[in-house]
Amino acid sequence: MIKLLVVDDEAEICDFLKAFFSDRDFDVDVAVSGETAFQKVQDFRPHVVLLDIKMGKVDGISVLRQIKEKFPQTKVIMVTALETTEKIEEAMRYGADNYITKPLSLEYLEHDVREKIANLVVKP
Amino acid sequence: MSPYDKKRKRILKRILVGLTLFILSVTFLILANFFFGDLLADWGDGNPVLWICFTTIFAVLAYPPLDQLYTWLFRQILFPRRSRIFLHLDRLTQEIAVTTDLPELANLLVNTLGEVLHFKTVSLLVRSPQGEGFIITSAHGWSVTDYRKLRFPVGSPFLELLKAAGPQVLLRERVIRSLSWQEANHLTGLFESLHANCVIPLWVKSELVGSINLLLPSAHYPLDEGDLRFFRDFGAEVARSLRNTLAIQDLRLLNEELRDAQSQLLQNAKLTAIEQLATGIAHEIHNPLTIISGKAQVLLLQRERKTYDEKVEEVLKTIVKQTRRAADITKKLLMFSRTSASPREKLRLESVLEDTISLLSYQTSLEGIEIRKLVGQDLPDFYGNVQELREVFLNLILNALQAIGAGGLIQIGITFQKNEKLFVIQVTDNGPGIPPENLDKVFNPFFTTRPEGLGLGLFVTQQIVHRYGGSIRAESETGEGTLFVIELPFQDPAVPNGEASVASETGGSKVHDPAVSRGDRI
Repeated sequence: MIKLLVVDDEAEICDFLKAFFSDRDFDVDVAVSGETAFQKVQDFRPHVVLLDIKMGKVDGISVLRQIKEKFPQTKVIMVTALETTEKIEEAMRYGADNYITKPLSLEYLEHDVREKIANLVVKP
Repeated sequence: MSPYDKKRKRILKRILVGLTLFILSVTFLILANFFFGDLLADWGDGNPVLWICFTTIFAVLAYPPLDQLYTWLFRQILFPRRSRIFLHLDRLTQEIAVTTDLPELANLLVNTLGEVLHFKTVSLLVRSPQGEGFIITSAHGWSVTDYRKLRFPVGSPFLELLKAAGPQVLLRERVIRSLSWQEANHLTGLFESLHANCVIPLWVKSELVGSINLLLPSAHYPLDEGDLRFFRDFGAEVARSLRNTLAIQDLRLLNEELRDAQSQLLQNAKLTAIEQLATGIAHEIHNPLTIISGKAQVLLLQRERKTYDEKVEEVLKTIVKQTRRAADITKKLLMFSRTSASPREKLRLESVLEDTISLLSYQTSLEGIEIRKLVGQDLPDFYGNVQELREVFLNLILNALQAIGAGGLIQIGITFQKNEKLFVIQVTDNGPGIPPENLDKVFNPFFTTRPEGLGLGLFVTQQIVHRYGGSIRAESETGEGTLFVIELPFQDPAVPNGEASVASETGGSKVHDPAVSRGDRI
């Protein structure tokens, strides 16, 4: 089963993403702040992280850096409300695997997630 | 000296020379006859032609020294040229001293020297404003296109020559005589390119500011020491005025640069504010949109399930809530983006405050929050827009409400400072306060510490206060509550809005009255 972690400070966004991916046989966990995100990554060891860029005190970029430092094999897809921002460039520089913009197209997102982990050997 | 004067002078000189020559020749004839009369009588048989020949030879030989003598005498006694030139130049230095514009100064100088004193060419070399050398600013007697081409960069031979000479006036012949053949050749070229045979360097202490370059007519040309001293003193006077003018010009340039930089900065600041706002709007509106579309998409995928109906209700509720959230953002944005002045009328600030408090009474009573009002005596009427002022009070009270928990206290004071003509509104809460690092951000658009907040309330409040030419600031210490102070200038209905706010903005925002400082909280 593919393990997916959703990180977004909007609980409602976490909610529906969890509902959607759970339906599609993903093992989904959520984190509603940057502060708790890295702990979740360490505990849950996801294959893919959906990571919101703009969050309260600890933003997505610093979470990304922590993840890529400790678990470089973890795929990280950045989620952002803005397409034209240096934040995306910064994220790509720190090793983000892709980015998607809000509002989300769930089917495209699922496709993207599956594509990212296609090369990984996923243990059942 | 006018050409007519010159002609008169020349004729007078010729008559005098002729007369003197005649007297001298007759004297010569008499004397020769007296001393050598016998000898010549024997030799030439007393022929008068011989006498005339001798006299003519004498006259021809005596003419040049006589002419020189009279020229000198004319200069010294009959036509005191130097004193007249002195008068002209003295007047010129006085005029130059009060000229602050460089081109004006340069034109005045070269044209006066050229037209009044009849120097063949006159040019003024001046340190260029960018400081990369010297250029000719104005010239008389040669064409603009010619002198515009000339550039004397720092270290060029002519400047080195000026520097070496110090304040001494340079005469082409004298300079050249003291140099080797090759150097002399080079310098002759330089003097020719300047159309000059006399250069007056302009020094102020040890700073070379330029030079006056003259082509003197040959009649004046062999200048004596007196002339040179005189030119040098004149040069010193001009140098002082020129340096002042250059300083003013530099200042003017710097001022322009500063103004450009400032407007650029303002432009950038404005762009940043728009960027900041656009980023904020996109983010704030995309979040509710993401929730709406995400939930709807999930629901669509689940329509075959048994629990579908229950889910529909939940999702619809979310959609209603999130659309309201998005609409709130646009409403708030409209509040401050309104460019036309909102209609203003006479109103009483305390009644606007009371209305606002009653709007919130349900919420405050529910949470056991007390709002205490302290309104000063004899408050004058305020000219403003009720909606805007209600928004100001509402945002400040809401901000305080969100900061304090149940059982908190909010105090609102309105006073009028007669001397400053300022309304002072103070809103104090006994909440946890604002951390110092956030204090300067509270008025930024979309800055909020609450997940549900928009971060537009205080921003909009600030915009409204500024619209009235007022100021707003926050003071807070962690754990000691927060104080917001608004100062609004008294709006005189007789004065149009714009003028009143501009006039008061300068004075109003700077006022610091001890009564509104933290120590004297209401």
